[in-house]
Amino acid sequence: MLQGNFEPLQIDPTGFFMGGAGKGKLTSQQQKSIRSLEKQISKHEKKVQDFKTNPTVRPGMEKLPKEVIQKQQQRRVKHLETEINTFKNNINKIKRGEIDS
Amino acid sequence: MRIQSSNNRTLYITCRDSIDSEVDSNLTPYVVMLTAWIATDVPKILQGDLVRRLLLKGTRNFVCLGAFSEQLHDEIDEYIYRFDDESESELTTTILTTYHADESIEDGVNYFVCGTHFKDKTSNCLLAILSEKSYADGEVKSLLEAA
Repeated sequence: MLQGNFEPLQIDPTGFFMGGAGKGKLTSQQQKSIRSLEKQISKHEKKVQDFKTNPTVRPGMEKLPKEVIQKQQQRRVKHLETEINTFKNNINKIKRGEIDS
Repeated sequence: MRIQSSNNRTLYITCRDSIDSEVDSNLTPYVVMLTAWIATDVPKILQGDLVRRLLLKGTRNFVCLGAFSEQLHDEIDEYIYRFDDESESELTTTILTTYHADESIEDGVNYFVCGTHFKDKTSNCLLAILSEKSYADGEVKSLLEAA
């Protein structure tokens, strides 16, 4: 499930994407890239959700102080959430023609 | 092997056995592709501290292809977490790692060449590290050469 400030790609049969400021024709490479990024968003959102539901401790770190373990777990969540936001931003950049495809 | 892609990116292809010379060169590979088609590819790729060396060279985007690319992706993420813990750095907030196990080779290669983003155009170098013994990597190489 895609969430947040992200508009799923809507492409009409002629390859035009609809919505957004940079409406225009997307190349097949751009369309494929956007689909790949959408999959990454979906997969990384699942990883975040799974980790939040079941926050694991890295092997060998079990005996560390609770605060250290919590910091590591927060870092992991932050990493995945940053990635998701970057994927969303990159989709918008492709739509605006800011990534050379 | 050096290729200029149709979208004007500089793409290097090297085999795993020659990676030492590539990593030790002046190359700054911002985006790196790694492939794991079978389970044993994952430890092979991670041996020799390759991820650390790439991070120190400036790699900020790892693109993993193959049936075992999720495992490879997860191992790279783990490595980056440990790297940050040990060096008190914040690489986890600047590095992208993706895996494309559920996509065709063509789509994975397309993402690598066309879907990745560089912060500035002076560092638009991509490096694909492939196995010479893998049939699938041969297909990846052909697609990259045509990109």
